[in-house]
Amino acid sequence: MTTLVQALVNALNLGGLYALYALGVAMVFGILRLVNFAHSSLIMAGGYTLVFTASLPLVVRLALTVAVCVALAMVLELVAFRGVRSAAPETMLVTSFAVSMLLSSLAESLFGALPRSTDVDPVFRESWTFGQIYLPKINAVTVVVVVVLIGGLGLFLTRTPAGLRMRAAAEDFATARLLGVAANRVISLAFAISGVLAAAAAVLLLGANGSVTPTFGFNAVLFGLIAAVVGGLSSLRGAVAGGFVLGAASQLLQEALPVGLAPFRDALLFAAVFCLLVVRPQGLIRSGQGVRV
Amino acid sequence: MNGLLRRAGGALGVPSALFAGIVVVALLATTGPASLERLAVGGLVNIVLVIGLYVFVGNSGVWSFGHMSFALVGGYVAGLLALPVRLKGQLLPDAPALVRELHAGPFVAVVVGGLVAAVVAVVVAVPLSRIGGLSAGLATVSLLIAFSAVAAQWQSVTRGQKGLSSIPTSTTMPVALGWVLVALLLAWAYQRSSFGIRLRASKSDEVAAAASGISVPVQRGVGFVLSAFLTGIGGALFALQLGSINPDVFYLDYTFLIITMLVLGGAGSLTGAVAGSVAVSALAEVLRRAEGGSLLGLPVPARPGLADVVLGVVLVVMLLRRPSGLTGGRELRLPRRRGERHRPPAVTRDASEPIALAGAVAGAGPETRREDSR
Repeated sequence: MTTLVQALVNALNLGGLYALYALGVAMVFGILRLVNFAHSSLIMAGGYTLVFTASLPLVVRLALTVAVCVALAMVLELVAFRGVRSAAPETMLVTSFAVSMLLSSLAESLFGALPRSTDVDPVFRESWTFGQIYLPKINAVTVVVVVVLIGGLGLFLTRTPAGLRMRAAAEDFATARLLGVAANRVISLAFAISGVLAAAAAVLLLGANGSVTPTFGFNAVLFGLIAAVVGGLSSLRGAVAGGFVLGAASQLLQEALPVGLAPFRDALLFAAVFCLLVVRPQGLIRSGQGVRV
Repeated sequence: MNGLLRRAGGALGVPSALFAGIVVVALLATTGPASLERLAVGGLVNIVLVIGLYVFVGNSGVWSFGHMSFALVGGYVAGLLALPVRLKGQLLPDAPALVRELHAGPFVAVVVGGLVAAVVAVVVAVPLSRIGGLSAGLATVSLLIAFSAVAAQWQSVTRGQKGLSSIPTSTTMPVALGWVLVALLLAWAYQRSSFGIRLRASKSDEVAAAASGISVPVQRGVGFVLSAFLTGIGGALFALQLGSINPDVFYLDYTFLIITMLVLGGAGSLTGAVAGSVAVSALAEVLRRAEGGSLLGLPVPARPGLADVVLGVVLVVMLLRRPSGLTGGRELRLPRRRGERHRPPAVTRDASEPIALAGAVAGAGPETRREDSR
């Protein structure tokens, strides 16, 4: 029983994180059909912002992190992705890969390859214990942040005019433009939202790890990307579902695998993802009319 | 007889001209210090890897980000075969007997490395060739992560993160040049064969190709396996040059390097693959030397990773301004004058050198498909 609850808690935490990464990737993909590897650069930039503002109050640090991530996301869109907007999805994928590698080497040459550590908040290191169940407070923070962000995003998309325009653009970009949706503004907005999600991911990741390297966020985005693909890249619900499925599958494999095979958890997980992509290239949840975003 | 010679000359003109260009650059490097020669051999290995990726990506139009899995397989297989049996007994006491007792010379090790990679590719290609576009690209990424995780965890055979070391090195300049020639000839022969042409047809228009009776999955699979074979050879050469291999070498960084080379040169042509790898290797070397020194009179600050930044900028600008690469997807255009076809190839090579450069810089020849249409 205890192990079950503990595993459930871990799966929820891991799934929430993956869902957060996956949302950031899917947000941009839904509108632009761009698989944004450079999302990792946003997370990295957020991480370094937290490191360099260590002396400021927490609220200011968080605000600055969000500001930096959003600004960088919009600059990247303007400089790098606007030019390849009409290119094939694979070309855009290579471009975003190049941008993320470029920014991580830039970070390496500016800040060095060694990890820079900082303390986000003491809360992140504490934990509750209920009997035998061990619950780090960061897990609770993660789940709350993820739920708030997903809920907020859902409200924004369904209840505001800007959200309506975004959904229209995701549904059929050409028609939306014909009906007066400003393409540049909608795409910038999508990137800005992905920047907010990246900032949240940076805070949570840094709270758990404690240090930033130039490749910070890269693995996170890789997992997020895979989660988004598992759920169906063009639907945000799919991305969230995919994140939780990947988190649960990862935790399940961790618990269920015999000791000899346990180190191969990631190998099995990604082999399964490979098979899933081959069998269902559109992901677990196929986006139908009207539910794309 | 004359016609046959002419056809042979036409068929092999492009790869031999490219090879001549590579030989010239490689020989220039041998005049420098030993470190430069080592780098040049590394550059040649990269050419094999880029040609390997090109065979699939260039002909099928489907991007693979997971080809380094095959380099990993080739590298480990060749490394395990080349390690002396006694040393293996100490390094890998828990490995299966087959792994511990089998030993082969460097040439056989490289060939077997490539073949094992090809066999692995057959298994992967059966499901993979059903899908294309973005899903295929992402599926190959997950493949790479899976392979890398296996290499990092299979302690008894790969020694995990520690990797294999003290492999006897055997990839010298002549060996690397020989394999570059093999890769060029194989890639060229494939793309001019009916298989290559059918795969290229599916790249231009998948539906029309299928409607014309081309089985797109089969053709993609064939291209994928050949491409994995060459990539496996490249990985094996890498392991036998460095004398060591670990799971981290062939991961996303190396994938990025190889893709940069291919995109920069132009993924649509063999000439582009070669031009891109030579250009990136040369640029990387110049930047590495300029780091902390000066470039064209301008002072350059000493910063680790700066060379990568410049490479990244070059790649992004290239993608934005000229997505089809330096060569624009065209092959090298050789001069063809009446009555000169049966001259010894040496003359053709010399004559083609300036054109190779001009083609790489300007990228634009009026003729695009002459080689293929004959």
